[in-house]
Amino acid sequence: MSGGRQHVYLEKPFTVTAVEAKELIHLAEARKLKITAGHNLQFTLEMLEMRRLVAQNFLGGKPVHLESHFSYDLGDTSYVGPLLGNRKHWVRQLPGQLMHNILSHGIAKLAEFLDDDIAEIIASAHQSAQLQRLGGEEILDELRVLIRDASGTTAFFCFSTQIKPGLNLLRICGPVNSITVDHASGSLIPHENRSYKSYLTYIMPPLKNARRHFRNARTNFFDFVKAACIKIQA
Amino acid sequence: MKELIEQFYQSIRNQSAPPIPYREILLTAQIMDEIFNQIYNVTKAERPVVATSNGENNCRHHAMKYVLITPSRNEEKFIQKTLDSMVAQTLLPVRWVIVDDGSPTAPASSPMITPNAILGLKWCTVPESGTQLRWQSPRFQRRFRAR
Repeated sequence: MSGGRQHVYLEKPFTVTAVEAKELIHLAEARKLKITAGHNLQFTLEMLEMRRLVAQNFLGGKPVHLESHFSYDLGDTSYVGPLLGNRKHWVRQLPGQLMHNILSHGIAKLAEFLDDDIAEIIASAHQSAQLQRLGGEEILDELRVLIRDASGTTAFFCFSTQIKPGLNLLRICGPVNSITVDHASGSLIPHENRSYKSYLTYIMPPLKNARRHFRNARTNFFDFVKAACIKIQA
Repeated sequence: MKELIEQFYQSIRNQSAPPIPYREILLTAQIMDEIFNQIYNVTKAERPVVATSNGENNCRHHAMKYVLITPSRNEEKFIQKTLDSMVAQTLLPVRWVIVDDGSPTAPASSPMITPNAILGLKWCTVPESGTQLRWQSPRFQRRFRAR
């Protein structure tokens, strides 16, 4: 982009540091070019549906709390193998090593709802026993982060290689209702704040969730059929 | 990925805002910086750099830490250039002590740079100690006096 006139779709990690990200964006703006990060998980069908609900004020206001879980399976040796076997592997040169190349998917989903002014970030990480057995040396693979922005919205981020089945979800808790987006199953579950009489409290919400899961399965099935038909026609 | 790319192309065609606001990209990068700073104990003096120009690894776990001591006696003409040059370095010192060893002329103690610009910058002004190497070997004199 520095010499040419091309718009750029940049795969993650967008840059190594925030300073570099700022410089790159300024460069794009100065040249009147577009640039974007390859955070494709923000544009899955369930995320688009989530945005539609948020735009309709389903949450009832600014999110109170966010949760983002992101899992990575160390059993995928096609990626981890070369990484662990070579100290000069480019991923190991990144400040965040293994996590640097994966984390942005989960963090970007939180950034969408957080203010620019971050008041507090508390991060804690360790190396799992599995990675230790694989010879992970200084690489960390279990991360938990608490974030609070200046307006009081809080967020929790969890990156894990050990949680099974792998979690890949976003939960947005609003002052009225909440939403759960599960990338692993391509599902979106809206949680409505509604009270039921007596024992119906334990019957109606699970039934509504079941209906919602059924709708998710139906939508995913027809999307699959539609995609397959397009592929066959092509 | 298809949806993101389609929206990206659309923003190019329509000259509209890109699908992921720059604000979010920057905030993501800032949060990640802070997380890695905390979990890998990267001090702010150690800027994370992938590799130096000669291909050497310059990351946190390989980066050297160093303390810089700069004598500045009668250096008022050059000290600002030294400061500017140091600020531009990729790997900053953990602590930098600049010692103005009793400059008889105007002390070089009023640089344009603020101490906050570099972590650990300490400015010292000491009375002239006046010591210097009294004895120099004949070999030293031949080599350096001739210049």
